[in-house]
Amino acid sequence: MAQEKKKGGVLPPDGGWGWMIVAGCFVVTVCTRAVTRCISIFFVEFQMHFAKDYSGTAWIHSLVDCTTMLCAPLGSLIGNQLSCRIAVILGGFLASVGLVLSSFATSLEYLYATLGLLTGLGFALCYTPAIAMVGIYFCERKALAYGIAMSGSGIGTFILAPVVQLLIEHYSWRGALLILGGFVLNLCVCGALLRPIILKEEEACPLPVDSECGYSVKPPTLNGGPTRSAASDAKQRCFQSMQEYHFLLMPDFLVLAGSFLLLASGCSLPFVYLVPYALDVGVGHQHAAFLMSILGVIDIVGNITFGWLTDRRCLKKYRNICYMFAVGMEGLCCLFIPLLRTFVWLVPFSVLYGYFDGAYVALIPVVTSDVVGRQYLSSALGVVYFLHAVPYLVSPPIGGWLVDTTGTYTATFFLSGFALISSSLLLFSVAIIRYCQRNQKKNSLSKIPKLVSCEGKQVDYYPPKNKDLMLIIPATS
Amino acid sequence: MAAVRRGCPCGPASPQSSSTTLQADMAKYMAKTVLLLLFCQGIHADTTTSPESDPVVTTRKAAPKGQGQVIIEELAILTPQYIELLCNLTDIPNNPPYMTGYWTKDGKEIENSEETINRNNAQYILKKTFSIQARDLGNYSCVFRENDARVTFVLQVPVMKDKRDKPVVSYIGDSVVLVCKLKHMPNTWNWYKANNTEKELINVTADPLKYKILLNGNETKLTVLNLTEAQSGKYICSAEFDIKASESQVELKVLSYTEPLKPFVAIVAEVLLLVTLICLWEKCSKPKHSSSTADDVYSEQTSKLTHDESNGVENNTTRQRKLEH
Repeated sequence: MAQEKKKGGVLPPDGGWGWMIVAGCFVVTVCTRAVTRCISIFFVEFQMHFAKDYSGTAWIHSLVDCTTMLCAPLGSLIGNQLSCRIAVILGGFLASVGLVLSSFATSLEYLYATLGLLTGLGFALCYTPAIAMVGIYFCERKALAYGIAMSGSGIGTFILAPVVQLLIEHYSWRGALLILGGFVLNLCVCGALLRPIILKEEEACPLPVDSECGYSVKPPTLNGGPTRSAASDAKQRCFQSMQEYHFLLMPDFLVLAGSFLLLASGCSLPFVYLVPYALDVGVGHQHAAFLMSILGVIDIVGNITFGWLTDRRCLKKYRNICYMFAVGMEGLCCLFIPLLRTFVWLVPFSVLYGYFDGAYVALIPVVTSDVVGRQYLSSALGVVYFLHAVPYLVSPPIGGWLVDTTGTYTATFFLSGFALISSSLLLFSVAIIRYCQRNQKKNSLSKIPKLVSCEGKQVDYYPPKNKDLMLIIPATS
Repeated sequence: MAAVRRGCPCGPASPQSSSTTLQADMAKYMAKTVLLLLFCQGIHADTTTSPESDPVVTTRKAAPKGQGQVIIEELAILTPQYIELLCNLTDIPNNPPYMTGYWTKDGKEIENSEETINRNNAQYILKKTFSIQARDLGNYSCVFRENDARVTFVLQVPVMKDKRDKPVVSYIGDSVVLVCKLKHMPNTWNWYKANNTEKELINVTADPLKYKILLNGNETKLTVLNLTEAQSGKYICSAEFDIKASESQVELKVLSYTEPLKPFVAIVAEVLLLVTLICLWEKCSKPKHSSSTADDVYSEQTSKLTHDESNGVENNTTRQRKLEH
């Protein structure tokens, strides 16, 4: 086992088994995000069977989403303590049990418990560790890897929606839930794929380490080296211990957290209210559904292409800016909706919005890992998705209330647009401040910190993203 | 000749053309009611545009042979009544002094229905009063001999549009809800179970443990409890109106739990197989790693020595110690 770690323990592979990790994360995203979206297909059946109205059944979807996001820190905790592999396998098992139990439901409350809580908890245990693993295995092509992994939700929804519909037609909702439970069990396979890897810096090895992500590296010591590697050998963990949550106090992370809160408040509204708005302005049912399909497909395109783009050497330094640009453009698109009153004008909106939505989703883990570093990525992702939970839940009802009181959809879309733009502006203003501060310091500093790139062969200049934790490493050649 | 939605004035407003209300007398069986439907010639086949007709356009539309402008109007008839149907032809070029028109029912010309219509301010009005009973429901058309265009009035009981062509699936021991909905409220709803060609009325009082019927104005729900395989088949919901009943059928399929269990077990087997394969592959590839990492380690060590001599020896020994394990 030690030898295996050594091989991976040199540098992030950026390929090889890493692609299997990406495939595993892709399937995890399919099984969690796509299945969550497809649950709404069951609502009509639940309404008929349990004689309840729409709001009663809509709670199920909210519960699953809420539990998945709120328990994300728990997922990263288990991933830290035990191992990512065990976390994902456990999560897959829980989610599957939840779905299988819900196929025997006798009341709507029963469904809240099994489908809402149990399955949601299972998804939460899978989601964060899988995403964190991708960040561990990739450095150079991180954004592309994340783009491919995150495109699972779009592609999954695209494929699963008609499949679930077919299952319901053939086996009714009970049989469909049972088979979906079996499908979700594939999360255990993904868990098995997540081979633990110990990266070089954890062994306190004196070789030039990858500090492109800018986290602290303990200077190599005589005593520290062997004991740390022995500890890592014994436990085979993929991350540092959980006590190191102090990234939460990082000013950069706090700013990022604030921007995520604003982002989550704005991003779900257009998805929920685009079709009702389109129907309101006179677009036909078929065309309105087509708009959502366009949104979904372009989302996938945005995931992968934006990930690939921001991996290009020229753009890699400006990943933060690309992220802010994507979010800002999305907000701008939302502000223009009230002017678009025909199907012909709503199509370009769907295309643009879908593209930028896919773009920023692929970049969230990348931006997070740029700020907190690879060590804390798992815990940080847990916190990030936890912050997404409450705005996700709260903003659609608020949007609905705005629609009811004002009578139009303008206010809702304006809310969404402003939330997204302010999220982007927050990051932008902090980046400007940092840039000015750095320029001032540059004039006073004699030595410019040189950072080593992922391969350790070239030396690149990177604007220090995280000044608080960066250790200035003397240039090696 | 085109049909325009009621409420739209066309050309010189005449009392008949402006009154487009549908009056139905629901109280008595043979009450006299007059239903006036006005049809004006519009520009397009789209019936909602106002008829500032462009003569050239309409002529073109009416002209092609075999391709008359066919307008279809659906009317829901709830009670037996007298209905007057009126067709108003306008904007004919040449404006002949008279035209001949007749009525057809379900494609067959009605005897003695042919009339000569005199031109009246560039309009030709063909109207007829029909007494509609249950047997008289059907498709009524007014046809002008000189012109291919016609208007068809479809007189029928309200039809249930949202039919479910796929069968409803449920499981043994489970319960299922079948729903029927209509826009108009019938006098009452009845449910039947179809046995081959016969219909058997479902009586809730006779089988309170098996069936529950909910009557809610425009819709009705039949709940079948404690399903058995024998209860598969066609169920017919019938909306009773004064004139006739409107029916719609739903098919129910009752499955046993083993049906969805088969794909489920197949997927679980596939998952177990894949997990085993992955674990085996990982265990098998470990010996391969040990032979290749040795070379890696030695190459690392040579580069390490140049970087950090003080730690190099220590790390070499630690690495070698690990290799021995």
